[in-house]
Amino acid sequence: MYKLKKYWIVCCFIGVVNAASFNSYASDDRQKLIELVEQQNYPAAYQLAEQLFDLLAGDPDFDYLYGLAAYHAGYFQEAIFAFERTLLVRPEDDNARYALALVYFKVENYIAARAEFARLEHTQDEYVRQQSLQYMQAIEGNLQANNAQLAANLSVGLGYDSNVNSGLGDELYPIPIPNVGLVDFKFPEQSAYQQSLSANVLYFRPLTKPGGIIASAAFDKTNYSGSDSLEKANLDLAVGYIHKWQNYTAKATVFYQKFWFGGGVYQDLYAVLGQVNWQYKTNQKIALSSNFSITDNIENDNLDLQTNSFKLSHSYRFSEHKLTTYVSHGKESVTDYSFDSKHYERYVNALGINWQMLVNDWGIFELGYQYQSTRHPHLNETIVGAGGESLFFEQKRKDHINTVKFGFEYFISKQWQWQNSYQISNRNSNHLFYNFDRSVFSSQLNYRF
Amino acid sequence: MTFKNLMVSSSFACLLISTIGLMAASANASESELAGKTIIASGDVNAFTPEDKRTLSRRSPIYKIDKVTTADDSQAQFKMIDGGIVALQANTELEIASYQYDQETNTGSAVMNLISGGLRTISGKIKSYNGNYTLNTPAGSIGVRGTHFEVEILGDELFLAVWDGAVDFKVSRTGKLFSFGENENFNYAKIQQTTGAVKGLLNPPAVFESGYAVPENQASKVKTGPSKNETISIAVQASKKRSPVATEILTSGKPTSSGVASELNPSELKKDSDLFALQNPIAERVGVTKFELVNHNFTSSMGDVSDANMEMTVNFDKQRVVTGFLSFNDEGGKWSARFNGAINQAKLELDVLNASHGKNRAEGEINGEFTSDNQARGSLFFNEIKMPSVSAGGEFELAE
Repeated sequence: MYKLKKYWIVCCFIGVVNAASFNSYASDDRQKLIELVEQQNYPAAYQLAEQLFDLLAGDPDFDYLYGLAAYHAGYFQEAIFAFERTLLVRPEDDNARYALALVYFKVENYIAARAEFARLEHTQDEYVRQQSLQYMQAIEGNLQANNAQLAANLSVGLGYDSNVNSGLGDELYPIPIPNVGLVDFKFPEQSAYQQSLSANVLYFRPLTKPGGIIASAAFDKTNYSGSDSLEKANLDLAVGYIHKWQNYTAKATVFYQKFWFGGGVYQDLYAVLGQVNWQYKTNQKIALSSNFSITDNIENDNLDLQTNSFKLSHSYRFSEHKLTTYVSHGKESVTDYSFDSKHYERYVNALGINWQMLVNDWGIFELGYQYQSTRHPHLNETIVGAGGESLFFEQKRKDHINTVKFGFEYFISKQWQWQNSYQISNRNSNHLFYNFDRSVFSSQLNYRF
Repeated sequence: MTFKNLMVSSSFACLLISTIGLMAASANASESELAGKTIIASGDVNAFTPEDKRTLSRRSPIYKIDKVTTADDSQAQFKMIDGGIVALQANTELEIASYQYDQETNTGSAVMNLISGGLRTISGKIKSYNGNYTLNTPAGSIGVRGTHFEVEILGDELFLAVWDGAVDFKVSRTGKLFSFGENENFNYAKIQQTTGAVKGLLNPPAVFESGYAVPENQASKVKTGPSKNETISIAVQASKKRSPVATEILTSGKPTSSGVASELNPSELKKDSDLFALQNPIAERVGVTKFELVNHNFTSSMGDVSDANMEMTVNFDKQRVVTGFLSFNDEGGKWSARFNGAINQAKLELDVLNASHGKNRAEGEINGEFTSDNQARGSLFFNEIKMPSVSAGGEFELAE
């Protein structure tokens, strides 16, 4: 019996010594883990926590530290399990619950994140409570983003157009009139005040994670005081599909436009549009777009056109600025090539730059410049000179158009915006009829639904 | 033999018998293949074999042949032999049909059958090394491509969520294969067991709202100690008067939190939310705040620096330094500069808008970053444009 007693004492002593050293080892490592977390050396903290996992997992304090290290080291899934373990033991631990909610949010488990943030609504920690409320708002937004969305705008505006008829000025121009000869004509500039009404509706419905359909309808109408013959209106309808993968977004759209001019239908336009965006850096994007359209002109069949165009643009965001540069090329071909229609064919090239700046909370300032050149590959043989033998326009037509635009949008409220723009344009053509100088100012009130 | 001797002898005999019993049970268990260990068990968590029922608690092993069950308000987490983690919801029955992993060759396979309830798992090394990892459910089988997914059976419907990685779901009824998760069309799905209809979902189903954490108003039901042998529990009770270290030994042979809790208490760390914010200390900041100079060591090539002033207004919502102003004097006059810029993570990316020294134009740069949610540190350097040798600079500290 004595031997047995002695044996138990020896065993206990060995056990205590072993356990004490073991405990000391674990204690040191735990302290080291705390230090590593405090030093923000999360990769090392996670590595150490992993080594201690089999020994200490299930201990709420260890699990909490493990969760912190895992979260910051990017092991979100492991962090979730760890914080859940902490809460299984300490359901009242608001810090662990807040941490768990954050990781749920991080892995886009918005449903669970919302439930945990909601449980923190009555926490004593005001900071955590406020943050939880903000996260819950963000979650609603993120969940909504995966649902069908509808957006609409309605605008009414006033403006002034210095040359609404693209007139040439007060000079006299000799025009050949068949059987009469040259007659002097004047093409005076006509200015007008304009009233505009615009409405558009946009609908987006995600079908899958990367793809969704988009549909839009827009109506614009502009009246000019004293010039009913120049009033114009258009109705645009579009349906498209958007697909995202990695840093790319592709969009294909079928588009229809009905255009009214002077109170009557002027033309119908049918188009197929394609666009690919490549977000190659977080703040830089390249977009390539292409479209093919068919125009059916109701008044003049010679103006029935088929258009192919391409546009390459680059957008760069820096702080609150956005700079966009672009080049485009297009070719307009007449549907029925004939003596009377061929001169309507043309090549259109353009380049432009646009700068937008967000001014604190109250508006957006915009400045843009575009240069466009058009070249007609065929002579206009429908107008002959006074003698009836030579062409009135002996050269193929070439136009150069420069446009500068200033814009400013003021945020009256979340729904209301006051949008202003001033655009100056000038066209220089080797066919003098087509020259003009024009400036348009418009100011409109927009309501966003 | 006295009564006392009889009692001692009886106790010793009992101890011997129970020890032999334990060894036998252990030998029995080792005949089955170990599948994993219980990390935590809350409430009523059991493992069933055809012959046996074991109540699971922390560190309890689970074996290949086990059917693990959780009762109402009960949950558990297991670490599997390949490092994978499995968490079981309440009212779950999970059968571990096969769980094999060879550490030396990194090969293995796992087949589990979810009979009812729900689970969430992070796949371990079996999947990392392209082994077969399958979870069978009444609606179909889930081939796991990795790494983190969740499944729950609710009546006739099975809900699936992939939080990381991807899974393939083969519908029992139709044999059709659907994939979910990364690079697939949906992360979430609802599967009708009776019809085999599969519907991809864009948002997590509400069934996953509860997560695997205990609500704050519910008491913890965690079983913290080994429960295979009551004598150990009795020993723990008896040892409560001993030193914490002794308690540790008698409890499990390994330390638990009780002995070192005070060292580990995260409340001893900085504010917990700050720990989260440390990676990006201003991640949680919102609104507009002005920061002012609280410390600096500016020096100049033209004598002593005095009257240093620096401030910046930060709009955290827009991650912008909206306005900034700097001035200080030396014998050559007043250095002044205006700046603004952006915040990238915690880093200040500042643009000096105009700078001057006395009547001369100057140029320079300011670098800095937020070291906490209410403090920024950095350095600056300026020189005159015409006379670059006339320069000034140093480090600064701004605070709210």
